Amino acid sequence: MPEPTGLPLIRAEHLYKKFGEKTAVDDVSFEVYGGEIFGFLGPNGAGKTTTIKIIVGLLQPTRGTAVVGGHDVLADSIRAKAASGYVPDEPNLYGKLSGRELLTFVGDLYDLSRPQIARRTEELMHLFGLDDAADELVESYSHGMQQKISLAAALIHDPKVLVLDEPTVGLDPKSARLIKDILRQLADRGAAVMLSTHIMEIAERMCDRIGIINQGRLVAAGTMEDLRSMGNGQTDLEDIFLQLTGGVEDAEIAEVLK
Amino acid sequence: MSLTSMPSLAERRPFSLWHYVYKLLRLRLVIFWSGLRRARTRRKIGMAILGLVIVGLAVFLFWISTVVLGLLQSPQVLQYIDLRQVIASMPSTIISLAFILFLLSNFGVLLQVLYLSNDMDFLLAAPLPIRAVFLAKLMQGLLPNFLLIGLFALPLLFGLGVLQSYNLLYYPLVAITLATVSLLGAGIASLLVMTIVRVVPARRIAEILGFFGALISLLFSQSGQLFAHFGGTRGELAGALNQITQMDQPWSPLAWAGRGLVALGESNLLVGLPLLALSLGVAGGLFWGALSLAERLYFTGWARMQESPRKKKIRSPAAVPAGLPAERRSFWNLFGAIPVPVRAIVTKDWRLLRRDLRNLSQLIAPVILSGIYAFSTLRGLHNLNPVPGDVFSNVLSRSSTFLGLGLPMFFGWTLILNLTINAFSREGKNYWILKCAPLTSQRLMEAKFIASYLPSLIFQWLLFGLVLALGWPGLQNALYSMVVAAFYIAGLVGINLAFGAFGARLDWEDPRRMNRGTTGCVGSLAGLAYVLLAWVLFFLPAVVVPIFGLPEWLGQLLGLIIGGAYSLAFAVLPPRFSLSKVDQLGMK
Repeated sequence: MPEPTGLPLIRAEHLYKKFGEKTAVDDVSFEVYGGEIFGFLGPNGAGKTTTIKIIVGLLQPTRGTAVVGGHDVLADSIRAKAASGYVPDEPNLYGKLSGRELLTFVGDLYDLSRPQIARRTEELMHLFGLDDAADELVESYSHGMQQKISLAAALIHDPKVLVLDEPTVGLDPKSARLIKDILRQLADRGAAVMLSTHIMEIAERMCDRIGIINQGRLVAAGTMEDLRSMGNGQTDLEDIFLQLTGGVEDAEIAEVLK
Repeated sequence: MSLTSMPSLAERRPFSLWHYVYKLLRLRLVIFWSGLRRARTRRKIGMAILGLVIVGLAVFLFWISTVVLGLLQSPQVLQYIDLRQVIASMPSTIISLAFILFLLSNFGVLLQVLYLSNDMDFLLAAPLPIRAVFLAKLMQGLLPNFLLIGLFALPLLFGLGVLQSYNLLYYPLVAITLATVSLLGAGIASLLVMTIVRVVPARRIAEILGFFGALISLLFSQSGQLFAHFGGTRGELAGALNQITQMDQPWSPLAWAGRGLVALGESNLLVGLPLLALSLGVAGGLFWGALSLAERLYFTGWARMQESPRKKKIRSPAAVPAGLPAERRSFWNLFGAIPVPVRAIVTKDWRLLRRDLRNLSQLIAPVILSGIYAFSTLRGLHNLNPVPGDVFSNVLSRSSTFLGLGLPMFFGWTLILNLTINAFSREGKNYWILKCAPLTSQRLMEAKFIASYLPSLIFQWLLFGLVLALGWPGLQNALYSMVVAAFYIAGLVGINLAFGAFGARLDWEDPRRMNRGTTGCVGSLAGLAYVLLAWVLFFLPAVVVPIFGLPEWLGQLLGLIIGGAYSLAFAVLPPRFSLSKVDQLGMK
């Protein structure tokens, strides 16, 4: 694994987001450097997706700043967005476009040249095993295929920053492995990858650093070693996670049900 | 903390079918009630008003049917048109029509509730008999249609009963008959749904139904206009109405029900009871048979839904035979100055408009309406020949010419409205793709403008073409109107896009709920006001200037300058003012 580059490609500074009376994100700050994969863990409703949406410019924070690729997501949104790719948790895609048309469309949005788009489309379709389905409508794709085409669309412009919300949900082990490998390759080439996940094994094995968010607050961030040192003797990420997020009681219930 | 153990459900005695049906229907009621309780006060008041309007409508229909039926049987009307035969066969006709309506309307509704609702996985995985799920879904789909059709059919039949002084037995039996007929319609519709879904994917059928539903309802709504256009003498009208009695055939079980009801109303129990019993028996038997068959097909049909639908290959740019590079073959080379992202959005919008029948069904109504009204209105307009030297007749002649050229502007307005006001909303949940792209709101607005402007202009020119075909107003006037269209549509698109941005909804499931009603309504009024003024500004100088002895072309030039400036202002300013709203779109 290469050493992370000096400059943070994602910087969240005191992010704060309120929906009515409910505080979804409460003073969250962290940085993700080029060359590293940053895992974002948290229980349901902890504020993972809200934070991610702020970073990719889909939500406006109530307070705080998000900087992507050195550009403020709000003040310099075009440059920030040009530097990033995003894969949402639910792949809402234009169902009446074919996979190839979708990638061409996204490539055009990033103002790539036609030969570049054609080359990248072929590469990505091949990489994700979608060659045969390239000219079929996206609405006819399975959930896994839609996840893959969504990731392909996020990668078409070779972004410096890739943000993924639950990227492995609904994928078979082979596809999940493929995505893990691709993310690792991207990071090795100097990109910053940030992903949210519920799966501890993915976070533990893939991520160079992990942030744990609970009730809108970032309760811990660091490498596995850092987290272990916070874990009062716990060495397993799941145990550390449960301890930090107050999920120990839930674990006891699970034990009873076994 | 520990959980108490539960007895095995497998050992429990199963409940009856109706127990599960009741539970499922109660669930719908709970969902409805819960939604109503949590709704905003405005919505609650709206629903209460709607309820009162429905009751009022039923009472009004009952009253009007007694009045109209009484009038139709009066000697004064009988000497003009004799409809006694039509009135006598009314129960049979209404019941037959109700059956056809139940059949048609239930097809779409049952397709939705049986195959496209989101809770099917959950229900089929639960320990519920499939028959109970099927019956509950059937009832759920049936009830709204029954209430809607009953709202019109019952007051009519009750009105007839009051007018003919039928005995009291007639009224409850009318309701029972209508309920049985609705069940028969639903049973057969469900069987049709089950059969067709085995061949064509359910979602595709829903799209096709939406398209043809819009088309048929439009043709029905315009039937009066068409009738007036293609004939309509008194004799033909009576003939057409008498055709309705053709539904009262002695072989039809539905007609037996109607005849039985009339006989019972007239206290002729010996004829009425057997006829009605036979009819209801046949309907009930057919319903049960259709139900049993449909139910069997249901589970296997649902299972097939889970398989991947048939793949449709799309010819993509890369699949075009090699030769020239794709860029050089592109239609867009004509518009080289347009930025690539803008072109991409326009191409995407046009593709989706063409491929998604739900979009086309929204546009089909204004297209046909425009065609019918443009044709019927313009056919009535004749160019007046001016009397040389008479100023008034000259003005009148030019006015009629420009009236003929101006009317298509109003007819085109409805299509342009539908095309443009939903330009942003049509993105729906896919909007995140545009939102995450390095795209300014200005670029996005430009793309939406072009995507709406070009088809609108072509449509407007086609309407002008219709004017030219109906009465040639001269080459100069024809060219003038083409240029006018190019300007004034730009302004209209600008206004509609701005309102569309302010009223955009991106979380819709049903395309009919794309836009917020209030914004759509205000937007359409603003658009209409704009068209009216544009008409005056473009055409008034062309009519007035020649009065002062100046050439007509000078008037047209003046009209172009004034009207053009006005149109361009609306093409530019409203979209510019709404850019901040576009910036906020999709961001909560």
